[in-house]
Amino acid sequence: MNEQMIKEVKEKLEMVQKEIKKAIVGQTEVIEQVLIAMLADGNVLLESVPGLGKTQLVKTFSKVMNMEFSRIQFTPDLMPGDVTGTNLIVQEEGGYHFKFQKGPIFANLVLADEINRATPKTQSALLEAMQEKTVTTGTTTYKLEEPFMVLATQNPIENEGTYPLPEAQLDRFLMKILISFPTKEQLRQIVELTMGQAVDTPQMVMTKEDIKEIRDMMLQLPVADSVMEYAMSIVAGTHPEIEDGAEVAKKYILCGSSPRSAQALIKTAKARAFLKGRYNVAFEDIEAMAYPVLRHRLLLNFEAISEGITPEIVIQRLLEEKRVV
Amino acid sequence: MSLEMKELIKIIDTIRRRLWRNAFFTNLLKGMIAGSFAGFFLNCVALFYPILWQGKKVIFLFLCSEIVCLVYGIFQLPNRKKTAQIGDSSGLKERLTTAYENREKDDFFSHLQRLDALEKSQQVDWKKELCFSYPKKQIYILVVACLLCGISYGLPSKAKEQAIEQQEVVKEVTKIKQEIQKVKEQLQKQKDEELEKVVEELIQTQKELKEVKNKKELEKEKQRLLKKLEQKSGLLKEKEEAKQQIKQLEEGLKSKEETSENGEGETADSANQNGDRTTGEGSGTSSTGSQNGNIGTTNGNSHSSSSGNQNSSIGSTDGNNQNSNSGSQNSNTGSTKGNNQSSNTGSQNGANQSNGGSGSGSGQGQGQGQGSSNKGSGSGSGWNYGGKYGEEEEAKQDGSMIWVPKSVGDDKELTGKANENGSSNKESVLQSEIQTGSHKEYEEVLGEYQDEAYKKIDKKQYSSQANQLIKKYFEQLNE
Repeated sequence: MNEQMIKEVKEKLEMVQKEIKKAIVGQTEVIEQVLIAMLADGNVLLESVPGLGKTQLVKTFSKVMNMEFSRIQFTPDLMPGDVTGTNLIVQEEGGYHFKFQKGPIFANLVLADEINRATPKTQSALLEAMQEKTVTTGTTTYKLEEPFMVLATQNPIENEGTYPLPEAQLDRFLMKILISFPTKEQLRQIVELTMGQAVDTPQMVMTKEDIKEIRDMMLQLPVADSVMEYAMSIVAGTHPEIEDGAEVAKKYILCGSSPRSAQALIKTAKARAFLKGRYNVAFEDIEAMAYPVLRHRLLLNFEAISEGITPEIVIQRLLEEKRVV
Repeated sequence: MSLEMKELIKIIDTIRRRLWRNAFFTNLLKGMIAGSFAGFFLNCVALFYPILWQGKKVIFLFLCSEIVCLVYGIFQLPNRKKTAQIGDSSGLKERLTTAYENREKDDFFSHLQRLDALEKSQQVDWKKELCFSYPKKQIYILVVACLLCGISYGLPSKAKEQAIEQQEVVKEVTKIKQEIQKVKEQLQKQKDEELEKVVEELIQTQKELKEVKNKKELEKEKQRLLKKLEQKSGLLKEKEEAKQQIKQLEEGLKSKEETSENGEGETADSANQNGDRTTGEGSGTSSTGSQNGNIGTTNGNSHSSSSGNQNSSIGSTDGNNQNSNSGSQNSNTGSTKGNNQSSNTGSQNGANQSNGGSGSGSGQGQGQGQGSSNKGSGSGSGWNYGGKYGEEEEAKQDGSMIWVPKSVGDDKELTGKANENGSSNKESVLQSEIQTGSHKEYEEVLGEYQDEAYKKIDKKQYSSQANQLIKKYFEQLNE
C-alpha cells in the first residue's frame, strides 16, 4: 500500500459519484450515503414514496461498480424459498435428483422492494443473508459472493396490509436513508433525462476487488479519543435507563439503540471521512452519520408520538446535548 | 518521533504561545475590572466609615486582583492535546488532535494522516486565526468601573476627614516610637560601653592594687575603689529606671494610638509634638507647641523651654535638667545626677529631683488629657510621668509663697578631676546636700513669669494661637 494507491482509490470514488449522477438527478446525499454503506459493508433501508428512483439508483450502482444486481418484489404471498432459492427436481443422466436453484438473493446488490409487504417469515429469510452473508437450505449453507449488500425499500404511506419490520431485523440495517421528493428544477431534469434524447450512460469505474480493498483501507483510519468518546456518548445517550442517558432520551425514548449502532456509527464515519479525502474521523462525520444510523434504531414512547416528535428531532437534540465545546 | 510530527508539534507550540498571550491580556482586563470594582466598593465604605490609608488600600486591592487573575490565567493554559483541539476548530477537522494522539504510531495510515494534518495546518494563517480581539463589552465595563472608582474616591465626606486626621496622628505616634527606639538602643549601647569602662577600671584598679606597698595605702585604695563602684552602680540603676520610664511612655503612646483609632483624643492641627533626643553635653532645645518631649538626654544639660500645654522630659542623666515651661502641665522625669530645675508656671507643676540634687516643685503624676479637634486650639493629649525618685517639695498650702530654685552649676565648678588615678579630692554634686533658692511671693513670681512670657510674645517666638493661649492663661490667673 502506498500513497499512489490511495490517490487512485480516491479518484475512483469521485468517478463513481460522478457516473451515478449521470443517471440520478439530485439526491446527492442519498448517493453518498449508499456509497458509504457499501464501503462500510452494510445494508441499507431506503424509505420513500414510489417513483423516486430507488430501483434506478441501485441499478446504476451495480453498473458503475460492475456488480451483479437482482430485484425482489416483496408481496404478501412471497415465500422464503422465493428469496433464497429452492431445491428443484431435475432430470439428468442417471435419473432424477434435487438441484438447488439459487434464488435472487445470490447477487452482489439485492434490491428488496417494499420489504414491509412480505410476511415476517419471508422477511426473516433475508436476516441470515444480511447478517451472515450465507444462505442455508436444508443442511447446506451457501456463501454469498462478496461484496454483498441488501437495499431494502419501504413505502411510508399505504401501511394497510403491511408487516412492519421487527426491531431485530431493523437493527441489521446499517443505515436508514430517507429519499425526499426532488425540487422543481430536479424534476425538470428528470423529465428531460428520461424523455429526451439519449444521454450518457454510466460507465463502469470500479470493480468488486476495488471495493474490497477500499473496505480494508477504510478500517485502518485512525479515530481520535475525543471523537470516539463523542460517538460513544451519543449511543449511550439514547438509553434513558442509564446514567449517561440524555435528557431527551429520558423524555421521549422507550428503548435505545444497540451496541451494533456504535459499530455502525464509527464504520460509516470512517467511510465518510475517506470519501471526503481525509485520513481521520472528525466530529462532523459522527454528526452526519448519526441520523441515518440511529433513526431506525430508536423506539419512541407515546409522549413523543403524541407530541409529533420524530426520531430526527430526538437525534438533533441528542447531538446538541452531547456536543463537545 | 517522525519529522512531520516534530513539525506538527512546533505548530501546536506556536498556537499555545498565542493562546497564552490572549489569555494573559484577557485576564489582565478581568483583573483590572475586578480591582476597579473592589476599589469602588472600598471608596463607598470610606464615605461612611473612616478608613486609614484609603488610597494605598485601593491601589493594593487593584494590584492583588491583577495578580490573582494573572496567576489563575497561568493555570488555565491548555496542554498540547487541548491546544491541538483548539487548533482543529480553525477548520482542520480533528486533524491535529488525531495526529497528536497517534504521534507514536508507525503504520501507513497514521503516517499519511500526519502528513495530511501538517499540509493543512501549514495552510492556516495562525496569526490571523488567533489574533487577540479586544472584547468591547469588557472594555466598556472597565471604563465604567474606573470612572466609578475615581469619582467615589474624590467625593468628600466627614468620615474621610476623620481618617486623614487619624492618619496624621498615627504618623506622629510612629515617629515618636522610632525616637523612643533610638533612645533605647543608645541607652543599651551606653550600658555596654559603661560596662566596658567599668571592666577597664577594674583592671586598672587591679594594677593599682599591685603597686600598693603598705596597709595605709591599701586602705586608701580600698575606699577609693568602693566609692567608684558605688558611683557606677548608682548610674546603672538610674539608667534602668530611665528605661522603665521609656517603657511606660511607650505604653502611653500605644494607648494613644488606640484612642486615635477609635476616634477619640483627636489632636488639634496646631498641636505640635516634638520629641527631642539629645546626647552629649550642653544640648538644649526650645520648642513651641502644645506637646514637647525630651527623651533620653544623657551626660549633659537638657534645656527645654516651651510654651504649651504639656511638656515632659525623660531620662536625663548626669547633668542639669532645666525646663522652663509655661503651660498647664509640666513634669520632669528621670533626671539623675545634678540639679533638676524646673520653673513652671501653670496649674500643675511637677519637678523630679535627682539623687542629691536640688529641685523644687511638686505634682508628679500621670496625666492624659482629652484633646479637641478644633483647629488652632492647640491642646492635645500628652503624657506626663511623675518622677519616681527625688524629693517632693510641696508648695506652701496657702499658695502665697513659692520656692524658687536656683541653678547650682555644672561639673566645671567642681574641684578636682574625675576619673583620674591617684588621690584626689573630688566633690561630686551627687553627694551634696546643698539646696539653693528662696521663698518668694506668689504674685512676684507670677509677675516675673508673665513678663518673661510677654517678652517672648513681643519677640514673636510663639505662634499666634499659642500667644492667645498664653494671654488667656495669665488673665485667668490674675482674676
